[in-house]
Amino acid sequence: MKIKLNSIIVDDQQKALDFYTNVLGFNKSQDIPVGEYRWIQLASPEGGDAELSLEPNVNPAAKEFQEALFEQGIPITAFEVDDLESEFRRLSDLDVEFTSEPTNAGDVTFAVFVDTCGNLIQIYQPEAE
Amino acid sequence: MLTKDRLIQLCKAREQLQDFDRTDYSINEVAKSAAMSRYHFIRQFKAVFGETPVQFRTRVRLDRARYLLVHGEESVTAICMAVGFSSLGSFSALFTLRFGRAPSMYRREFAGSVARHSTDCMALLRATWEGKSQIPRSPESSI
Repeated sequence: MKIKLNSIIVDDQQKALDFYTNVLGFNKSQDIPVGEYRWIQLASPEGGDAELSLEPNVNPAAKEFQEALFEQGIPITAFEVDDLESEFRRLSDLDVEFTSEPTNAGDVTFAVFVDTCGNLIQIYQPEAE
Repeated sequence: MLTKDRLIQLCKAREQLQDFDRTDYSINEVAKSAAMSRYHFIRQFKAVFGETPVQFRTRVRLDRARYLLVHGEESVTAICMAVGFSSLGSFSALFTLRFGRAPSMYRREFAGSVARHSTDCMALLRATWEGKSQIPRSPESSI
């Protein structure tokens, strides 16, 4: 059994696709119309096996869950980066809003930003070995 | 840096803007509840939610209309009014711009599709596998 797919809930699939590709730098690997919605999958240009799907928050339970996490300041997922300071500067220059600037938490340093689609996202850099 | 208090204020503003029982909230009123000037509120809202308050409200209304068209039996006019548009003409134009089809065409196309019964990730996966099979056959998991 392999972990190949991670899903996040977004409030609008097109807005999310724009942000996750143009701002965060992921590549679209799937974009298939499915009824009223789309199956959208993203891959990282930096490699890695797992891909990310962007799911509409149409199910009221999903919307409620997403909004609760957001209001409580809890990131919906986390992405690993090689150089957190540099990524923080790059995203800040693109006007991304951060709720937490780079912070040391022992084994990792992390920062948290808003993805404009209803989520907080954490980026973290593991401690060098 | 976006503070927790400001985040919560913006979330409350977002809630007001998607309140279908009070479709008459003006942007000024919502900005005031969030303790911000209109200008500052619009800028902050856009920075956090990726759209201006008016764009957000329009999108939410159109999304709600889309749901009612597919899952309900009310007329297009009734739906237009229910989601807070006062003009059928501008509702239809905005709907078509967003979804690529007029409201009545949208209903004809999607009422009764798989999306009617479930829009969760497993339904999307199932529908995709029945069509194309390019996505990985991932373990049964969903949000």
